[in-house]
Amino acid sequence: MKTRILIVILLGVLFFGMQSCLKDEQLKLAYNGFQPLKIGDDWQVSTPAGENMNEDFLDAAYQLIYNNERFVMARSLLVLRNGKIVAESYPHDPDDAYRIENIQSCTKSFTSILTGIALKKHYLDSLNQTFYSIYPDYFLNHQDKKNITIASALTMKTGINFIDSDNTRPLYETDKSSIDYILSVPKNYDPGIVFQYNDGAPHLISAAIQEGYGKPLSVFADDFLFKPLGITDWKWEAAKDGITFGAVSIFMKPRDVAKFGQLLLQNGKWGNQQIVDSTWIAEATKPIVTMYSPGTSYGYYFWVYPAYGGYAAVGHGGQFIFVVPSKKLVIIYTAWPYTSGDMFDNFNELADLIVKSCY
Amino acid sequence: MKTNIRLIIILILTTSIIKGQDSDSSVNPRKIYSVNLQSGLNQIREKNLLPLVHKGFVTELSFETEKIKSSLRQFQFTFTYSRVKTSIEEMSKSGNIKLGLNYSFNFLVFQKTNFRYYLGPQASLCYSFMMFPNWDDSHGYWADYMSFGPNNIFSVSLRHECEWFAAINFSLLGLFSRPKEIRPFKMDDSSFGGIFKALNSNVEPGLMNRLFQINIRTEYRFPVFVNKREAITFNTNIIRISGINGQPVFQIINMLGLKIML
Repeated sequence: MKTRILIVILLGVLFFGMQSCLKDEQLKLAYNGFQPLKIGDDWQVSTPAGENMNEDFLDAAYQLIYNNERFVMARSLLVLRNGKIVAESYPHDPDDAYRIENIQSCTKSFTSILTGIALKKHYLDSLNQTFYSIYPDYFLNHQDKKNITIASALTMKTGINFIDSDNTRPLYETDKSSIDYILSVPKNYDPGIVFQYNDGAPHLISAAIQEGYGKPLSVFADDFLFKPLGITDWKWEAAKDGITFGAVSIFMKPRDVAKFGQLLLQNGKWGNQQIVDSTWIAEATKPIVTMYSPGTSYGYYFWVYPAYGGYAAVGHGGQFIFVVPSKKLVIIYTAWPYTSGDMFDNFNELADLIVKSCY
Repeated sequence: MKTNIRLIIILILTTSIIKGQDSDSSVNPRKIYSVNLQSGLNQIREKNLLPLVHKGFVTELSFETEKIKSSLRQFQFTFTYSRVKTSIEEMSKSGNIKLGLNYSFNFLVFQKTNFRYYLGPQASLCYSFMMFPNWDDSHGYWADYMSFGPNNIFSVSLRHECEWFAAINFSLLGLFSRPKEIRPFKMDDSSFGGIFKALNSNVEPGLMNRLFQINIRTEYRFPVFVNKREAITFNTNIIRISGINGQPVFQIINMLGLKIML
C-alpha cells in the first residue's frame, strides 16, 4: 500500500514536471510619461509646451518605445529642443540613465568630427592625403592600396572589400597590427568609386590621427571633444595594438551622447568655445554619397535625410543621434547595442512622430 | 500532441505498477552500459539578456553505466544540443550546448518485495553554453555548475523482467559560473582559450537559493530478447542559477527517449 502511495506521488511529480512551462516576462517597465530626470547635471530641462511642441505626438513616440512588441530592446529616448531636454525616458531600467553603454557605429560620426578637429589643428594635412603618406611602413606588403585617401575612407570608398560580418571580429582579435589586417583584406575597386559601408575605413583614419597627434584617437577625443563638453564618464575600445576603433565602441551615457548631438546643432560651438569648425559639420553632414534606399544619403560618417532636413549618427541596435537644425531638434535613441538588424525597428516611424511634434 | 505523450507515459507506468505486484524481489549483481537518446523541449530564460523565454527542440545523447551490488553506482555523460527561439522571432538562430557528468553512489536503504529504495550522494558537473545571435551577436552566455546533493532512486521489479525505475536528485550546494550582466566590452574572446576561460570565470559558491537544480528521471525497462533489455525514459531537468553580478538564468528541459542497454 505504501509503495502504491509512493508511486502515485512520484507520478504526480512527473506530471508536474511535464506541465512545467516558463513564461515570458515583461520586456519593459510600465509607461510613466517622459518628464526629464532631475539629475543635477548641466542640462537645462523644459516641457513640450515651453518649447512649442505637441505633447500628443511626443506621447505617441514614447508609447511606441514602451510597447513590448516594438523597439524591443530600447534603452533610452531623449528629445531636446532649443538646447533643453524636453522629454526623457528609460523603458528598460532607470539606471540606464547613469550607465555607459556601447553606441556602436554612432562612433563613426564621432570619428568624423574628430577628423575635422584634427584637420583644423593640422594633425592631418588634408582630405586628399593618402594613408601611405602618413604610415608608409604598413604598406610594404600592400602596394595596391597606396592611393587610398582620407576622403575615400570618410565616404566608405576605400575599395577594400571589408565586410563587417566577416572582418570586424578578426579586427578585434588579431594579435598583430590591426592596420595590417585591414590592408590585407583584398581590394575589389579602386578608391573613390564604390561605397561600401564598413568598420575598416574609420579605423584607418583613427590610426592616421594617432600618427599625427602621437596618442590614440581616444586620447585625442578626450583632449579636444569630451573634456570641452564636460564628458568624463566614457570608454572607447582599442584593438590589441592600441589603435582606437574608429568605427565602433564608444561607451557613453545617453545624456552625454546628447551633448554631442547638441554640439552638432550648435554648429560646433559649446559655450564660448568653438570645438569644431561649423564648415566641417556642414561638409560632413551634407549628402555626398547617394544611397540605394530612397530618402537617404551619406556624408562623412553621417546618414543624411533630406526629407527631414536632418542628419544622423546611426549604430547597431537601431541607435541614433538625429539632428534636425531647422527645428532646433536633437533626438537620442539608444538600445541594447548587440541585437541583429531584425530587432532595430523603424527609425522613420519614431523620427516622424517627434519631428511632427515640433510646431 | 503533448497531452497524448503524457497519457502514453502514465498508461505505461500505471500498467507496470499493476502488473508488478507479485514480481520477484531478488537483486542480481550486474553492471549495465547503456546509450540513451532523448528529445524534447528546452526552455531558457536568460535574464542577463532579456526576460523572454527561448524555447526549442532539444536532443540529448548520453552514455551511462550502472553497477548494482550491495549498492547502486551510476555514472552518466551527457551531450545536449538544442536550437531555441523566442515568441517574437521567426527562426531559431539561438542555441544551447551542454556537456554533463554525473556520478552517484547509492545505498539500499529500503527493500520490500518488489520495491527498492536507494539513497546516496550525487556529484554533477555541467557546462552549458548559449548563443543568442539575434539578441546579442557579440557575447556568449553560460550557466555552468558543479553541484552536490542527494540522489533518490526508486526501483520496482515487474513481471516479465520489466522494471520501473525513477530517480530524483537535487543540489544542496555547489559552485557555478555565470557571465556578468554588465559587460562593458563589445566582443568576447572567441578563441578556444578565451571561451574556456570565460566558462570558468566568476566562479561563485551557492546553496539552493543561488544554485537550484533538480532532475527527475524515470525509466520503464523491458526485455526485447533474453537477457537483453531496453528502456523508455523520461527526464525533467530544472535549473535556476543566480549570481551576484547578474540576473538569474532559468532552464527547464523535458525529454522523452529510448535507452539501449549495451
